[in-house]
Amino acid sequence: MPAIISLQSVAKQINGKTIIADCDLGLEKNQTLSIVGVNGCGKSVLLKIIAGIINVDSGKIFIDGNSLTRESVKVRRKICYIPDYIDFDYNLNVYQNLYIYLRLVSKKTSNEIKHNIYHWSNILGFSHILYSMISEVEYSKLRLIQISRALASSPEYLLIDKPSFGLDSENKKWLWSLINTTLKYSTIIYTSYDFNEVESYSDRIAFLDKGKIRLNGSIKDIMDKTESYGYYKLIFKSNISKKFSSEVRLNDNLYHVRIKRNEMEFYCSDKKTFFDIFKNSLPNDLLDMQNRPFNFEDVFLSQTRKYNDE
Amino acid sequence: MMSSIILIKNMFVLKNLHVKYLLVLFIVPMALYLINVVPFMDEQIKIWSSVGIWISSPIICSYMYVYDFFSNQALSKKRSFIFNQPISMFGLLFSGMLISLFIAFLELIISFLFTMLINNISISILDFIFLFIKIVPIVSSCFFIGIISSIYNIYNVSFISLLLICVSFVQYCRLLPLDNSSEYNIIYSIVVVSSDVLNANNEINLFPALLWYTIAIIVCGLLSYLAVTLVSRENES
Repeated sequence: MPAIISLQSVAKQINGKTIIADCDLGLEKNQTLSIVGVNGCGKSVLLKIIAGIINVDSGKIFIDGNSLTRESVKVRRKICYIPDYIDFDYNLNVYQNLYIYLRLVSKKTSNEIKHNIYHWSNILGFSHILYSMISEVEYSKLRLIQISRALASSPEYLLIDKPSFGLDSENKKWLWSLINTTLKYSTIIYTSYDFNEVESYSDRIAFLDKGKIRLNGSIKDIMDKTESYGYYKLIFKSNISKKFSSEVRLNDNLYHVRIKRNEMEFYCSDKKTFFDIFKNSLPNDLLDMQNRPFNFEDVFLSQTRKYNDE
Repeated sequence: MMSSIILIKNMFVLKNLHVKYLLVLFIVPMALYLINVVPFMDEQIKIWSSVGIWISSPIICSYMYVYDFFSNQALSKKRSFIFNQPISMFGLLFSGMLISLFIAFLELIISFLFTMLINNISISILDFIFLFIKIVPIVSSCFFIGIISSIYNIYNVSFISLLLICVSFVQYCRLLPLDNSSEYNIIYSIVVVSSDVLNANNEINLFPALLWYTIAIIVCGLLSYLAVTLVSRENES
């Protein structure tokens, strides 16, 4: 199936700093893609780029065969973008905010919009605060109202920045079940830190690190691709020598190295590197070795930036 | 279509904040009168200061609207959803300007009625319409200056400066009848509006208004372009 959203060599610099670098991404119709990455890796910028809010410096973006740069208005009308903050107009009440939004994005009549707002406010349980000013409503409710914007407008493409941010686990589940039933014909892209959410509500996952897509595919694909990866913990009899510590830290094939007194933890992309470390650790009075199954969070850590903890 | 929705949105804002705006619309001419006229209870001063109040209060009120229109929504990373929609920023600014002109018109009526009741002075409907037409370019320019100062986060400073200019302008109008022969001639040529006001009783002179409109179109064009560029840049930061 051809990709309905396609990014080709997209790059973006902000204030002279590269935020997105040579990014390629494709997504089929009605699929849900989650973008994961550490803080500041460019997730939100990438989402804004796909939403057409930020222009790219180079590269091409096609949505449903139309170029986002050339046919910006036409394409952007099909997209509903929900940022990770409350983007309501604080001078308007809840109803007025929803009304203006739906007037902007849909071709429905005033009456239809009114009924639509009442319908969703009843389902999501905010009908009693429909005429409250935004500043009077609590954050989690506002987040739900924001999502109701997407549900009420039934967009072809839904882009959400951290959808469950500020919601408890019960609301999170309920929200996703609503999105999945109401917007089953929509193509959804969202960013998240929550690995349970990513594993449960994505068809595809893209790992973003320093503006580049490191891994991209379904959970099965990704787990298959990272089959040789491993998490290891070595425990020594005495404190680890400085020489060995620095040797491990300088090894480019190790990720997230943590060395603490007589313990050493790291992620490793291939078994050969691990055995090299293992061999060198034997003269250092190795006491024990632990290796646990590689979970989704481990994949994430192994794909994101490396750092060493003292 | 889009502009009409933005206009509806702006009307919602006015509806929600009507108490604040009604207070401002009534307090501004009263405050200007209290500061500029009450200490000098001369009949001539009363009349000419009133002219200054008619011009100054619409400018102050419409300038105050800029903050509600723009600052809360367009700036910072927490911008309103409206600014993330595929609608023209020029259209947005234009609809905001229309509302600020509407506020200016309301304020002109209020300040005119207020001074008319107190000083028992009046002008014809035609003069009143001309007065509003002359205020339009000033209000429009101030609207865009307000937007730019909001972007640079100096709205309060620029608002205080504008207040001082408006108070000075009313004071200046108070001095107009005293001597219009020699030393004020230079100022007349600079402050076209006041020379226009001087001519209002005698004949209708369209040149100052045309000059103001030309200046205002250039200023508004440049400032709106600057505002759009700055907002887009802000969006990417």
